[in-house]
Amino acid sequence: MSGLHNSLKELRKVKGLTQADLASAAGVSRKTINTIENKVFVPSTVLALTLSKVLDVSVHDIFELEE
Amino acid sequence: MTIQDTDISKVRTILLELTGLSCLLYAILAVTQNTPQPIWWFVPTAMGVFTGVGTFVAFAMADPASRCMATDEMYTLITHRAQRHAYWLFLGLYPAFAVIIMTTGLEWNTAFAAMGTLTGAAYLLLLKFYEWRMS
Repeated sequence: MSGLHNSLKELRKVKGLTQADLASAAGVSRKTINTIENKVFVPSTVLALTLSKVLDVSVHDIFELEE
Repeated sequence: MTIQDTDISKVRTILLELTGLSCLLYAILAVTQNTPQPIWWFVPTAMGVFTGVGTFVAFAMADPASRCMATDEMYTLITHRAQRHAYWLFLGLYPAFAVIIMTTGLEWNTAFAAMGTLTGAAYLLLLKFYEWRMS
């Protein structure tokens, strides 16, 4: 089974946001953002869509299946 | 004065951890001293009440957004995982204490006191453990 690769950290930095800024905008804790970036935690569809909305990118730009 | 989600998390973690440790300590003392009341019986209960009040106050002092952030989906995942595993640990206490009672002559009253407090300790300390592991 493929893992989930994510570019959240890179996209967040492109937007000039800290983990705390992104967490606040997405309505989750900073720890949650940190664990997503470190691939410890796989977010729900709702949170994935919320993150894509906050970062103004497609959800596919943030998350993709690893081959 | 309002507090942030990180403050809620700190208060909640510290209080739950202290309550879990008090339950574990009570169970260990009960078994080692073979008495259902090794220290004041109300210590774990009082710690639980104090934790409930403290956590409630922390949430009451925070704004709605911070409350949501402190109970986001990762925290929910951790609490559910701790509940699931604590349940199996609780069931495992029955055979474990059956063996302990048969082999050491532990009193039934002591065993029930220890099992009761260990049930609380299992959930609270697993919650802390998974929270630490995810950070």
